Amino acid sequence: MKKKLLLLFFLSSFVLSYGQSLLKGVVCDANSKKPLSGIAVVLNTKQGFTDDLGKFEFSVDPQEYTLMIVADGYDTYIKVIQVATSDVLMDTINLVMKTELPSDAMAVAEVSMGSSDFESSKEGQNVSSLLHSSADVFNNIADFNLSSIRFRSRGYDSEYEEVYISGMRMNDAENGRPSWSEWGGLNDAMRNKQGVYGVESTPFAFGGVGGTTNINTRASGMRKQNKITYALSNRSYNNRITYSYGSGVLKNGWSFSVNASRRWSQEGMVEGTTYDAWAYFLGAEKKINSKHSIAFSVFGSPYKRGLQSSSVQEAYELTGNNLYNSNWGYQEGEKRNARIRKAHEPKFIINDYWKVNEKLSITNTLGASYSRYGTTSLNWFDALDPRPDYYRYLPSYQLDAYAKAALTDAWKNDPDKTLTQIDWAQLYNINYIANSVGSQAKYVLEERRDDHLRFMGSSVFKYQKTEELTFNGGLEYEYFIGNHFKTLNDLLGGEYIYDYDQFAERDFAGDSVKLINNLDDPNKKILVGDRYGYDYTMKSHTAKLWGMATLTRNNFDAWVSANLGFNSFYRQGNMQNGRYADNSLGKSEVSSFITYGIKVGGTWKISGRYYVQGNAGYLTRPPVMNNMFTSIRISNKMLDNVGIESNLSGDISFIFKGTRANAKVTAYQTYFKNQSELIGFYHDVYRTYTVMVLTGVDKVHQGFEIGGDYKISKSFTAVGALGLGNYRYTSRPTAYTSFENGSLPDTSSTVYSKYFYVSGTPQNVASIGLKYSNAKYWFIDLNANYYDNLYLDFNPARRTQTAIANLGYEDPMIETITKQEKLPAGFTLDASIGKSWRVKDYYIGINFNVSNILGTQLKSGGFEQMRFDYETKNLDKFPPKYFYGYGRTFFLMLSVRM
Amino acid sequence: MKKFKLFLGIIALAGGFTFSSCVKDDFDTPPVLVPEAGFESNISIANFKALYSGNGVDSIAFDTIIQGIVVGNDESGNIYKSLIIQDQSGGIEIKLDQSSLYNQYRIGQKIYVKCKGMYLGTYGGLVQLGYLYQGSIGRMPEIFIKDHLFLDSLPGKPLVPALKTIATLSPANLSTIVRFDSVSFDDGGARVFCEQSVSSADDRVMRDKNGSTILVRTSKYANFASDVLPSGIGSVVGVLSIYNGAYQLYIRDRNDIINFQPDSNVYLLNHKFSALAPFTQYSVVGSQVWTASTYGGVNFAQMSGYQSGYFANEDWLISPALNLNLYSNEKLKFDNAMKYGSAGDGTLKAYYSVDYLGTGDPNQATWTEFTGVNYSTGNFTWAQSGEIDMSAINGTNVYIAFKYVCGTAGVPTWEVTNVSLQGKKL
Repeated sequence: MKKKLLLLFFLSSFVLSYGQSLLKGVVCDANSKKPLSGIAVVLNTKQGFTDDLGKFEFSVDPQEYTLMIVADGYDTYIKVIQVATSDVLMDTINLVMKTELPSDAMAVAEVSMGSSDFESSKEGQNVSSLLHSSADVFNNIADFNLSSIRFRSRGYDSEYEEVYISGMRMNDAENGRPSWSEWGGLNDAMRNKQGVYGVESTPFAFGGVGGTTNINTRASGMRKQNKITYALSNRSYNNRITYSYGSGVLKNGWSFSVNASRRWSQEGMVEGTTYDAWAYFLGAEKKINSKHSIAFSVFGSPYKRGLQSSSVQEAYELTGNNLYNSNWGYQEGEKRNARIRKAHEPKFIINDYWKVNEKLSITNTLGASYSRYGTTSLNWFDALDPRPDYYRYLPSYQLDAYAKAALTDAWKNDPDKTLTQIDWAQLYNINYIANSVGSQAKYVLEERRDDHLRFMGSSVFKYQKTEELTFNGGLEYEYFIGNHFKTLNDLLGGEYIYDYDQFAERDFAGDSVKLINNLDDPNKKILVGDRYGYDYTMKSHTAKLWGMATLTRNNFDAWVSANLGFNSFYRQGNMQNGRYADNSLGKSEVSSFITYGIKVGGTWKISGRYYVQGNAGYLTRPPVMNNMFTSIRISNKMLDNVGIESNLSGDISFIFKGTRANAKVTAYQTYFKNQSELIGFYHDVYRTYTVMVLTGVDKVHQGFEIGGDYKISKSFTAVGALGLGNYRYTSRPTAYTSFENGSLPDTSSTVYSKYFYVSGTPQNVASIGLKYSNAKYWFIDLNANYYDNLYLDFNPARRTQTAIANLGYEDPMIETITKQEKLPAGFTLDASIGKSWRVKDYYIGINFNVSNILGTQLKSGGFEQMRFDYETKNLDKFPPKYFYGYGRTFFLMLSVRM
Repeated sequence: MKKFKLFLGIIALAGGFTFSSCVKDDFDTPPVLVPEAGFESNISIANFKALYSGNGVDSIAFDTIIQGIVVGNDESGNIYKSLIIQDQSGGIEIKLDQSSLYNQYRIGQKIYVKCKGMYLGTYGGLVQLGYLYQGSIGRMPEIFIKDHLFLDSLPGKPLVPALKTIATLSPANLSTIVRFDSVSFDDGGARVFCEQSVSSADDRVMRDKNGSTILVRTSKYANFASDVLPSGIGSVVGVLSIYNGAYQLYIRDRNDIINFQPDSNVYLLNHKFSALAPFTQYSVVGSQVWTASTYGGVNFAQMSGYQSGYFANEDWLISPALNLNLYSNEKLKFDNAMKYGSAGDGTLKAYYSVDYLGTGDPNQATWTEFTGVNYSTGNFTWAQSGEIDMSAINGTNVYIAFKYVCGTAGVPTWEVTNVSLQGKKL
């Protein structure tokens, strides 16, 4: 049996080395005394896994080693071992179960994802996603404690972070961002993660500048268990039920895993936010022979949820509710949300894990993904804006003092919510009146769809040439087809609509062609389910080739990697639009880009406790497809000023790993050159959808990360993390503004935003915590978090010459208009308490978490409205919109496992 | 196995709970709600308007309720932030600070207005119901509208416009829907209802058979503003208004232009002599020539043999070449005036030629004098030539000319303008 050492390699595979002596051990559950299989065992830079009997072994040299055993659900075990010339046989290592804290952590991060209703069609979630059992003490603390305040590690946008699931890349081909909600609710299936921050090396892909994560869903790697949990919360959902099953490796070589869940509530903490999310995961793996294992994974998270709006401060104050949501209204006594997101994005992945010989292993992957992603929205035709917080409906817009007072009073006392929320009955009535005169419906709900279909294949190898020299590399290809269109979702009692652009009708008076959205069938009466408005397909091919060489010595590791990428894409218009009759249907120009990158890094192992690690990389990337088109919904018109972006990044860390204490100090600096940003918005003045593309955006992200933990006693551990960042714009980008209906010519202007702050994340954060756990499986966590230097997203148009035209030199208005708003700093206090029991063969866990105990409602972000009054320059006319954090929330979970 | 069964039980229980918890997010269509005001009016619109003191703004302190049928709204954009309602007694314009009013207040919709708390005032002589704005009558803020305007039932049949003639309009017809038959627009077929270059609105002259006119006022924001005025004769419907003593008509949309029979008459010539061109002059005798001149706002071509003395002259004023083969039923008209001569003294005569070459001495060509022309009798009194029938004349290069001849005694001054030649295009 000793010889039958089955190493359950994850994608990184395993490290077997043949030195003079062996280090052996067995890992067991401290409570049940049963061996634990498939547990990651790290010896300095080597990594292996325990076999079916919980055993592991390494060949070792005579020196000092740090042995670390990282197991999900257990406390990490660390021991410093002095190896002499003989074999070392360690005592049985008993891992102490940590109750269910890690899965709870996921739940906390998950609820803050994507609940906001941004204008963009499909946004990724800018939540730090690299939740994994890494030894990075700063990020472990920051990810868990600061996710609720939208802290992004090093300020990187999520499009710079590459996420793979079992070898399939999850970043959206169109906006570059991974969308974690696509596999929401599958915490157990997605538990096995490997990831790095920044430009560190990874064995499964070349990686991005912001980090790389691979989630391994191999059934053989899932914990053998039957588990059911129920959670009660007052965040975005009230109830969550999860079930997970792992068969372990069966005698016939098969492994199976199942994960299913439902998260739901009629209304989350924010009014009108219905939530109904299901999730499923099915995994199977068959060990064909000693060389091949084939794994299948199928998963998806179908959900339907009502979105939250952002609003102006005036609306929050009038309603006395910082979570005021203008998206809903009563319909016959029930809350109805106009913005319902309905998505289901199933994925199918097949892996072939091929161990060619002792030195070479290859992982081949085929993946396919289908996405149905739609968000409903009210639309209206030559009728009053139905959104209750439209600026003209607010008291601040009223000139007449008496009317202002009456409106203020009506906002503050609105028992039937027909003023402060959507008045559905009125929308229906107006449509009924329209029916009575044979007119088209005046108000409808449309669903904007962003569907896709994609296919990918990849092959990744690892070749262990010698004990010291390893080569990794791979090939990756993806074909992406994204289809964007809208359908009529609900006529709200009306009978039909015409597919005309009502604003073109006004802007091109007397022109009977320009207003038509679909020249193929111009006078069609659109009914529920019909596609209308716009319909286009984006097609792209992406191929990547990469390689890496790693040299491992006793006192240092060094690696170098490089990649070459090819990307080509085009737009295929499926509707001939009257505004772009000769440039909307059919294929656009094809854009092609060749990109490359090189990364280098190393670790100097001063001793088993002290390390110095450094990484550097220079990467180029193709522009985001959507940023190349100025009116992507209805035209093939392209911007030719958007080019390849380049990133230069480096970091250096000092790491201490002791038996009682860990610490890491990192300094990093990243340059982003020639980024492009797309801001799509509805222009109130010109009454048309408007796109602003910023090109030549340069930024620098620099800062320090300091993290540490200290085991005060057997029961108490103190943790602390401090992040000091400085994320700034360093160029004056050019803004191209394009009016979708073409009523005005495109304009370009210089944006004076040099040294502006990057928004969307606090730049300075601090977190300290105290953890208590005892042998009777009680644990208590207390955390205090502080953040500062959180800035409002700014409107580039307000930083142009036009915006401050006609103001005298040194006019104080100039500063008022151009200054970037800093949001208040914030402080939160969180606590968790948990206990677990073993009753015969059942493990029962309960834990209770309260976030933001003080209940302070903090502005967690926001943006300046794109509309600006160039005449009066009155900023109060179109004030910024803000988001507020939830305030005090709780999460209570019960789990039963056998 | 037993423990597993228990576990299965837990799963079944949890599953049952999961599947049975439903999140409601689908909605039925609510039933059609037929609005009902639930109260009656207590004064007619005419009597209500008569309550207005006649100057300034009057606030309405009593529970006054009027009712009426909507006859004008903002659907086409020609009427802005106003409704016009009408009952048997008359109509009134209600000024409301809300856009897209027509979605609720369709033409034919019956509404009740609780006037207490509102204001009566005038603008340009038109009595309006609204709200106080800087001491004058203004629009009622949106927040108050629901307290004053009440729908009653769904929109009914639109009111039939009362047939009127321009000359017999009276103040009682203001803010009501009226119809005029057999009318035409000046510049019909030539100009649009309202140019986009004007600041807000523009007027067009509408004319009836008797020659009476009324201004038709159109906003640049009306969806028919860029449409060409109909040519020919037809019927026009609109809401009657007044501005500083002059009646105005607001068309609600294109459907208010009814049965215009296109008039195929076109102008081959329509010259008012702000300059001589496209006419040319040719001097055969004497150094005095035809010139463009103006007096009292009227432009004309002028010729006189007098210039600090009397000089013999023969001078021609010749039109551009006209292709009469393309037209039928050509009618020539012009206005003329003279002084210092006697009626019908023959010093000015109108001719045409089919063989003139376009340049050079007109005496080289054959000219035929028009007969039956009415000439001025002197004292610069404008005379209309009367309709001169040219339908019998054909040719691709036909010229019309005015020939002035004088000796050194009895030297008159002649003026000619408004030379128009209309024809039906073949």
